[in-house]
Amino acid sequence: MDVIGEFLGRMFTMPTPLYWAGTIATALAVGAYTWFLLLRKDPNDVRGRGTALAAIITFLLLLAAPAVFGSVDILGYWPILTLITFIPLFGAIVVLCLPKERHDWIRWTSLLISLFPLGLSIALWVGLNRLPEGMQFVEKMAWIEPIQVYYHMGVDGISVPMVFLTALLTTLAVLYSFIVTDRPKEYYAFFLILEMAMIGVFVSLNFFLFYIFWELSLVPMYFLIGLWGAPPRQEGRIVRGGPYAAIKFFIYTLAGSVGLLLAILGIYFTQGTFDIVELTQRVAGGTPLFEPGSVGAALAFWALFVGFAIKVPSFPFHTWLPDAHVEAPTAGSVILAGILLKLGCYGLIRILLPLMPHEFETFAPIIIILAAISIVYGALVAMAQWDLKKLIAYSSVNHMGYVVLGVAIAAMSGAQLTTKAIALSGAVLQMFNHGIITGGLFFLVGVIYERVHTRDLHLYGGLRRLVPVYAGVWGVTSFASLGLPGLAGFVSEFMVFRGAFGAALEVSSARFQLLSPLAVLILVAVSTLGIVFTAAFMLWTIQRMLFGTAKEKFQDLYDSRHLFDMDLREVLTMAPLLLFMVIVGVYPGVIVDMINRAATSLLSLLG
Amino acid sequence: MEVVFNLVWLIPLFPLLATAAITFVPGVYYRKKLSARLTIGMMALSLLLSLLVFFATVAHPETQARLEGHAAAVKEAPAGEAVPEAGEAPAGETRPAAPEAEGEEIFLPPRPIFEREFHWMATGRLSLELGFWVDPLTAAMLVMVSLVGLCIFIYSQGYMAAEDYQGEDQRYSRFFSFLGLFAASMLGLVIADNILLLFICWELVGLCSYLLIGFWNFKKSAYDAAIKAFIVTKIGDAGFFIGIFLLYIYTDHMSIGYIIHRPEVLNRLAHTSVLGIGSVAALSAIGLFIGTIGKSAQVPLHVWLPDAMEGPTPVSALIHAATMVAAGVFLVARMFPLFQAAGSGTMEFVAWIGGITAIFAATIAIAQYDIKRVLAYSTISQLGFMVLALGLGGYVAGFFHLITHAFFKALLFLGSGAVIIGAHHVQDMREMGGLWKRLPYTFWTYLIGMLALAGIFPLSGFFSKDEILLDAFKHNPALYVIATIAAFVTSFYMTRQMFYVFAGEARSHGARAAAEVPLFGRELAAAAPADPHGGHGHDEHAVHGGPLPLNMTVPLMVLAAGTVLLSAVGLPLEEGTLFSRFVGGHADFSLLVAGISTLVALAGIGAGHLIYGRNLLRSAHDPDPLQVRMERVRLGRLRLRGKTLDLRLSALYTLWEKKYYVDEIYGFLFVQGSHLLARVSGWFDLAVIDGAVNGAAHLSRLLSSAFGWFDLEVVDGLVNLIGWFGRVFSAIQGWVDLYIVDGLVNAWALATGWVGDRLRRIQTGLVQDYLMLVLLGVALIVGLFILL
Repeated sequence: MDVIGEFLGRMFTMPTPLYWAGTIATALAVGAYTWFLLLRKDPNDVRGRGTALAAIITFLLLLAAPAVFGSVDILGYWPILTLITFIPLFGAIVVLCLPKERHDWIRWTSLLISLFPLGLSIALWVGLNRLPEGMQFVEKMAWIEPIQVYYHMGVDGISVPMVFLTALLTTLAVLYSFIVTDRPKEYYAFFLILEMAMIGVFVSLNFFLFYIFWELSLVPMYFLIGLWGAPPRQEGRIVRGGPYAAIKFFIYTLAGSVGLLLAILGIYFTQGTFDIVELTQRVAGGTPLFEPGSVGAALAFWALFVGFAIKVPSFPFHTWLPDAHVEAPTAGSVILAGILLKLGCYGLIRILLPLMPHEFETFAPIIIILAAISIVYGALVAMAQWDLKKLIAYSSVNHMGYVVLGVAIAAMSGAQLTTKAIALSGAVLQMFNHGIITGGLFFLVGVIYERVHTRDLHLYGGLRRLVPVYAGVWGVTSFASLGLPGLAGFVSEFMVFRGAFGAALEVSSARFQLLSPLAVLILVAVSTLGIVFTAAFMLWTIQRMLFGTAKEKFQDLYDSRHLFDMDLREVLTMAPLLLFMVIVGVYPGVIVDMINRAATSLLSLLG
Repeated sequence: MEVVFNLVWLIPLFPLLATAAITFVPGVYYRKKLSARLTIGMMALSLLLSLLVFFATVAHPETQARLEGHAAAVKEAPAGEAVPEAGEAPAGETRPAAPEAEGEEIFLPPRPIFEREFHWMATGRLSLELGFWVDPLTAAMLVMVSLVGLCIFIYSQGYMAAEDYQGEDQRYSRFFSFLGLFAASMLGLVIADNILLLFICWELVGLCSYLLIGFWNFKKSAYDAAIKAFIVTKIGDAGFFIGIFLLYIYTDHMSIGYIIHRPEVLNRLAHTSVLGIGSVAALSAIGLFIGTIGKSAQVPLHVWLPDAMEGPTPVSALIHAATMVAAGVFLVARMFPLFQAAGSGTMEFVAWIGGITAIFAATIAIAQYDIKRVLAYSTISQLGFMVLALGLGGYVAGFFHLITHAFFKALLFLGSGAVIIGAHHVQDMREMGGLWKRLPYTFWTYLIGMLALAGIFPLSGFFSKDEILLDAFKHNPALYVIATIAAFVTSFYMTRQMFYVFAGEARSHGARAAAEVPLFGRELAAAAPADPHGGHGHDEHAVHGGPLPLNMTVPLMVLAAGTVLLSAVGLPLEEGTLFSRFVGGHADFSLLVAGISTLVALAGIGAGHLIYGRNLLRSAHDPDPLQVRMERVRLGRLRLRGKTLDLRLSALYTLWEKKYYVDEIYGFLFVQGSHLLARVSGWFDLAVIDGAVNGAAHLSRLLSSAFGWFDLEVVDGLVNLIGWFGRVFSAIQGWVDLYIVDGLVNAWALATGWVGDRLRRIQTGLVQDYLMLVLLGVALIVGLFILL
């Protein structure tokens, strides 16, 4: 024991860049070995046990190494956020340079590259817990100085889970996408660029940088949905399909971004800076960005809110989501639901809440109403769906309603700090949970769709007997989604509702300008019924898919071995997600403590 | 002793380990016997540890003081004299003189002997902690759950091996993994010291109930019942959820001890108003009680429990009779001081819900033919008794009935399962009959269970039901009458069931072939399991399965022994009973009430004998004797659209048989309603909201085509017009250029040429002509000079 202790002790005291070099070298060596193993195999064989084993070893080593080496002082020397953000871009360039017929090279390179941000984000997680409150790992340098544009990055307990989620889901999406045979080079390049853009949004602390990444995230997704999505088809008067959904997604979000851009410019012209941290401090210091109660303030608030709400998406801006999900390729749906939606929520938390707290509080009742509608209405509409992907898309509307509710509650300055902190941490945790749960559900839809080529629930049934492992995984993920205690979804729902009830009961009626506390209480109580509806449609889906006896088509597919249980790659894709569902459900302190620290310091700053 | 308490968390962990092993280790999953034995072994360990904890609790000085009865002060103290006890109690500083404002005495249960909390997550500047504890309530429940559970696990081995559906995979190992998960959650619920942890386990037992009801999920009826159970209890849980939030918000604590052991906290809760709706205590108690209504199948939300009988019978016994449904009652008992603090209105509400449930379900049970459904409604009715007791302040009575009921109802359910398997998958009681000779062990144990349920003297059911009736007698005469009638109905329908199942002649092939493996007869026992399917082919009346194996009959005997022995702790002593001393409450005994209740129970049995015992069914198609009798009584006539309808008393029977049509009403109102709402929302989303988006897109395309036209026709037209004008102009200019500008030039050239041509003529080459011209020129110039 002493030897190990001494070894560990020495590791943490040695000069740090050396460790990083060592970590990366180890990772590269293992990766190279994996690659080497792989090249000796049939290029199209992705299920080889040896390669999979090598992949697991790589994965574990990469996970472990930075976590072990991730002590604070190490991270202090290294531009870790820049690395996390731009390694995928570098990877995209590398992938684009590979020969296009070597699909295996392209796949494994992408996977390897995507592991780096994952490992580094774990280092962020470990490191952040040892650092004081506030923004950490800050990098700041002049970029376009005349207009106050800085390259400013930093993370706190709210962004780290998001960065980690992005890195994790991208890695899994890349792993899952090994089946893609249509132009994989461009496909993976788009994925890696998308990862860069998304992480960029979560780490940017300058509006200019933020907006660039925000808009940049649209482009790869547009192509992923448009090119790798479903082919166009006539449906009534509308030609639905990949291109339709891609255009709808792009235009809708872009329309929201216009307001965002105008509001950012408005803030810049009144305040003369793009720096989010500085603006937050100014607002906390008692100088609001716009004159309170003025038309300009309201306009700026709603411009920002609508811009973010479209991305969230909150009722009534949600209809691009089902289309985009239904038409997107599986991994695209996963990233879309898992992370892109979180950009909007993140904007609400990082920008709207700290920069316009007065306006947010004034309009919070309206936002609470929208959130309550999203929760109940989303569940009800989901109940009426027979397309599996559409159903899950609407369940996302339902789940994101909890996030919006939590943020709106956190804006109520009359509530106690504990209440607000629980609500805000609940919202952030819900973002994380939704990412792993709904991301997982979309993976699972992809798994079954690949085999049976239909998402029409009328045709499903009896999968429990045909594909038991799949049925089990689907069951656990569904129960996590409907908020079963012991799994992740429950904790965040509990926290958001605790915050919401607390706010309704603690805030004096004078504080509510648009709704009485009783009305808020009733709204929240009605939203609690949303839980029942969510349970109902999730259980119906389980019943329609897994129970009963298999229909003829499925039985035929099963007999002809087209319908088989999850293979190793698919299990590996789902395993980390299931693990997180259980860990967060059983001991949420692992992640909530970190989020709570950031949320509490943010809220106490706002007062 | 401390060591034992420190290991309490292992009690739920053991069965969980079995579940994990079955789920994740294929080697275990594919060995059916191993998975069963592993689960049973783990459960036995839990039972062992539970017993240790129980005895350690009994041996604890505080408990000893109560048990020996000399601690009248201790027992009385919580009510009136809080101060003297505060000196004795180790943690007395937290219990100052109870500031009872209304004079309403609040019963404070004994403090936990052991408690441990751990950090779960950070909330703002605070920390949310969960934990586990041991108090008398926990100790008693631990033993009950693990003992009944173990019996049922052992029984399940035989039952699940005999149960099969046309070659369906029995999923034997999966069944045990679910059982293990259930036991873990239930035991976790019992040791939770915190409402949140309690709620988590509460939901997990709900999950297990869902999984096990829908265990044969290729059957539509099974998975429909599973979903119904989950959703209906979930509706109750929404109320529970709100109750938790209220407590959490107003106390910043979710520890149960913080709330129930502190009169000052209870007092504060009782006097804090929630937005003018009511006091925190009342609202949160009602919230929690709505959870109980769902979980313990009380009246408006009782509909799921009878359907839950679709699950395998051991599940019905374990979850839907003995333990899980009792969790709702346990919750009320656990939070009892909160209910008392909530005031008499809340308590009365609880009592009435219980009373109505007791009579409502008991009457339905009269007219059921499915052996398990009778027991299901009986369970609902008995849970109603417990809730009634708690609502009337009978903490000990309600909780004691919970424990005794768990034993005899588990016994009855397992007995019914034995009958079903023994009679080869016959569930309709009309197809049974004459089984008392064929299934003697089952019959005698079932008889004990039935007598206990009916409340016949030396059995435990007598003491527990009697305490409830006594509480009702003392506090609420109306409810006492209702409860007494319900008790009469209970013994009546149980007698009916006994006659249907065991008396007379066997009325089906299955029943005729029923047999048991004798306790001391090896040769038959060895022959029995060897031929599980019997090779009877596809005969419709195929009789498969051998005689009842011992692992199904022995648990019956254990439970029957428990049913008998439990009455020992319920025997009235001078200061309550042993049980009431243990859990720290009051229990009285009144010869009058006991006499009436015994008479009523005997009357029920007698009436049952008169109607059913004297008119034994001959064949499975005979009508119910009670129905026949009620048919004879005409109540009146009803004229409806010209038709005359005889309104006979048997209409009441039909009403009971159809369960008061509650399922139909709910199905129409809520199920269809929510589907309709969903469909309307779906249409609204597609047509209106997405329609608006697509409309906007359409509009913008329309607009853009209008602009396109404008651009093409007007803006570009203008440009083109200008261009045309330019072209015209340039054409004119070209013409002008060609004919005028250039023409002028040409004209000049022509003129010059012409002039030159004309002038050429004077170039004659003759000198005289030139001289002539010179002369003329000179003359001209001279002439000009002269003229000027």
